[in-house]
Amino acid sequence: MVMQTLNRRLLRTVRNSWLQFTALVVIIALGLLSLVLLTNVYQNMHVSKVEYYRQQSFAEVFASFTYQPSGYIDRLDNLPEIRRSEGRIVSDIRVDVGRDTHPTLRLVSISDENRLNRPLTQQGALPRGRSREVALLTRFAEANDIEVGDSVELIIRGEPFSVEVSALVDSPEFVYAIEDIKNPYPDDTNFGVAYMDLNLLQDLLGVPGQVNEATFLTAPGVSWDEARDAVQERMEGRGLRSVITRDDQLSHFMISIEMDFLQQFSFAIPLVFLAIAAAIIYMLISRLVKSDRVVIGVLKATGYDNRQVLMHYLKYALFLGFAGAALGMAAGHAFVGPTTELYMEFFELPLMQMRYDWTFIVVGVVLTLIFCGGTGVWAARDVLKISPADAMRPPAPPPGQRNLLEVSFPRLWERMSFSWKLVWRHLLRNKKRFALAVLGVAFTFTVVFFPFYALGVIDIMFIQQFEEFEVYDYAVSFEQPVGGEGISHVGELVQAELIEPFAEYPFNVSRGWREHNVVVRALSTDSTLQRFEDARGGIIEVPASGLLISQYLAEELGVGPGDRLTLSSHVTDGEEHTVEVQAVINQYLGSGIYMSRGQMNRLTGQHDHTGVLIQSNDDVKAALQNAANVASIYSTGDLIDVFDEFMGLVIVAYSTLILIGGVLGFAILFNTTSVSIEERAREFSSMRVLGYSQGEVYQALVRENILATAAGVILGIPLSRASVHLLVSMMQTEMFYLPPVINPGSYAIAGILVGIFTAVVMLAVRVRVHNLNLLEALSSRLT
Amino acid sequence: MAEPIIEAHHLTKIYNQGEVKVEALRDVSLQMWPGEFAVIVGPSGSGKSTLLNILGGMDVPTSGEVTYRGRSLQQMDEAQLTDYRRNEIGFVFQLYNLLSALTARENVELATELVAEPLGIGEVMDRVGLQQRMEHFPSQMSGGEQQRVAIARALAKNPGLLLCDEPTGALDYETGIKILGLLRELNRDYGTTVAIITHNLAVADMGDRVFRMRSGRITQVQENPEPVAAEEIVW
Repeated sequence: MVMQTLNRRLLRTVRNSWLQFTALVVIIALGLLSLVLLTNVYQNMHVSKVEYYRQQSFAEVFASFTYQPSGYIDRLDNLPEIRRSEGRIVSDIRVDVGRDTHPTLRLVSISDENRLNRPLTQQGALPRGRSREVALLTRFAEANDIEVGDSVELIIRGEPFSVEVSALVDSPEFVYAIEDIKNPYPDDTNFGVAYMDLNLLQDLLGVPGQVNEATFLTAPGVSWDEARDAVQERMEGRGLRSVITRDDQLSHFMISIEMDFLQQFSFAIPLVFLAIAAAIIYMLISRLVKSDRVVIGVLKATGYDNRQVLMHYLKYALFLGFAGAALGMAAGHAFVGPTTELYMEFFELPLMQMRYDWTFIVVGVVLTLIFCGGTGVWAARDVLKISPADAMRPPAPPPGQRNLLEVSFPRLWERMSFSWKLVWRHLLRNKKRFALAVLGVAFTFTVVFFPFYALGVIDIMFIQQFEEFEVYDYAVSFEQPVGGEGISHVGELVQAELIEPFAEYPFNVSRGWREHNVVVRALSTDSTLQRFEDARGGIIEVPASGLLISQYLAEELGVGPGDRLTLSSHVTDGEEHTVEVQAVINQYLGSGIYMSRGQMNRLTGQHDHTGVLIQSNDDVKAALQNAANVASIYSTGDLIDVFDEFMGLVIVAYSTLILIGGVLGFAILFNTTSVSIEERAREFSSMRVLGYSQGEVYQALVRENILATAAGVILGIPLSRASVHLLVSMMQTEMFYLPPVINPGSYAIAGILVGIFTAVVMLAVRVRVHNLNLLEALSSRLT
Repeated sequence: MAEPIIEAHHLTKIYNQGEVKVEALRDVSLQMWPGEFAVIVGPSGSGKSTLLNILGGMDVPTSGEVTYRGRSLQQMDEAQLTDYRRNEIGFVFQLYNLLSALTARENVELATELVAEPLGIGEVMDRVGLQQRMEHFPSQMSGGEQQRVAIARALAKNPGLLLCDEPTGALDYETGIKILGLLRELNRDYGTTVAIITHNLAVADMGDRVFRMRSGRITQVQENPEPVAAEEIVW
């Protein structure tokens, strides 16, 4: 009861500074929103993924090899490290879906004995026996308007083979369905997966009783790596192409990257927001306590004890905190469903769980208590020091002293105009607040800068990759290596300006304990369709001996120019060769190792070509769609198109980031400026009485904020640079290598945006300066 | 006969405080002459601060008019009122209202920056006896010294009219006397019209003319042919 009047005063304080209050509530809300949203989405995805993998028995180790008798593969489960092994065929073919170009279809065999990697049927029924049926990956079917019961024509070894679609399925192996690591975005129109009976597929491919892949579950207590090594050892010399664990499985790898980010951000982002909110709350409350000096004295004289008075200010912080927390958690709660669904759809992950984890409410409340409540108590601690008698006396003027500028640069100070001196005096006297404003602007700058960096860098990546490095339009891979006549045949089918053959083989590349499975591409030393640039940006040719390695792999393997790598392959029957690294090359999309044809010949003894690079304005996909020996056609144009589609999403995400940056910047600067005005109401009024106009008083504030903004932007440049470097180092993957190249224009745009935010703040506080009541400020000592 | 420097005609001022109307001024008229040292005296709540604020262009009357050298303040827009305060009026407050971040010199500079022909800063600081304290900050000065700076600040603009609201209200007796003496001296030396408002009846003896106020009215205007010196006042 005693506190009711004080509570009313509190509400009035809130009402009188509602915009400041709202800006802070929004920041806290954003923090709690991100906490609740990201952690719940992560949880839902995580649980769904684990459950999905378990239900469909997603394999843990994957081996790929040249065709081997399936009996041999099935016996691999007698390895002590292996619990179950299953052989299968995986083969990329083309499929006629009634369009001009024929998409790539990855045929995967299934049989009744299969227990691993079981597709999840969404519609229809899996193919039975040797019937001419396939089960299609749902998203491919949808993208191509194919329904259960429709017929599609597979083109196998150049011959059409009609099959009926018996089912639409999803698979734990293709949660993120991309053809290979060179195509980082799912292109559902041009790449799909079909499941087909093993025996039928063996017949169609002419490999009766054989398989070219095996998948494994590990024995209890055995790590994936141990199982992989055991398989590798057993199969070495038996045409083994690669053995990987689930960690390197393409779809799992991609989804893991995304989920790792989600998990890291789900804690980092809320903490950043709450820390900013805490800094502002500290400033607001310590200022409130200062200006309430007399009120506090009166309260204490009346009989309120320290705890009650402290509670008054703590309530302000808690009111702010819980208003923000309630808003944030409610909004977070509302967005969890739609956002989870969006993620689930992006990754074709069937939703196993849509749960709202209420424990995050507790986490949110505790965090709010710590950040807002803790700050509130800390900021209001001066309440304890105020004695009623002291408080009744007029406050001593705050101590003044020579400022840094004056002492260090006396001549500059003397030459400075008076109005600027005024500004500097005030700024240097309120260093903490100025620092908060500067940090706030620097942080805003960084948040706003990032999207522009990213957009700029994506441009650089794509332009460089496709205009300078990969200048071909298509890369065609053959099912079987061909000689010179095979290349001539391609030349007859395609209207090409230039055709360059290449040879590509998978290798296990190692240095010491570090190793990596890499498809090594061999090109002629004078290749013009694929060019290379070293780390310093100089164009280099393919060296006659030795190899070129992309920066991602160089870092992974810990090598630089002059180091030697050990290469082995099924083509070399497991024999190991050491090859010197001639240069580390810039490659932003994908990663790889390149060498001359001569070097490849020395390693493998193979002279044939496994594919061609083509420069052509012709529709090569259409021209080659019936070609017998074509395994896959990689089109740089398609990749750019798919990427462009994704840019829409990217831009939405980035705009959100800019908006958040704006809200942050506004909240910080608006609050520091408002506090500055309140604190100096008397000074400003004195100036007004002396004859300064509203505009002149306002100008002082504008100048202060211009200085804070300028300092913030200057600080923001190295800060954003460091953040970019940090983020880039976190984000490097085999698929993308983000060059930490910053377009100076990005700084300029971020600077301009931050300037606009500052201008908005200045417009918002303009009213406050205009509303300064000259008389009240001068005569009143109470607030 | 000389024109009055400032005239008030039938001023009334009504404050709406919630549902209560407070009549702070009721039909107040007065004239002040160039070079005059006027004292407006009255108990608290008599309307003297309101009158001063209206004369200084900081507040507007509910009805009536103020003319300064023949120009009506009520006809002025915001910019013209700012100009009026800037060029014609010097204010001295009870609580000094110095800018704490500025040195004494800079507080005066704050005023001299504004006008075309200010008095020299050195000169006014010398006049208020603070030549040696110019680089000190308010926190390093006593109340009397701070009030001297405030007076120097008001004076430095070389205003036509110096309005002082309880200038000794926050000072001890000796310091108060010194400040009053200083104001009188400046009034004589520079010919600046000075209006002091105070609730201290003893100060009235200093004025060339004394306006006594009560309940929003001027109840008496008293000519003082032989005003006493500040040092002779006792309270």
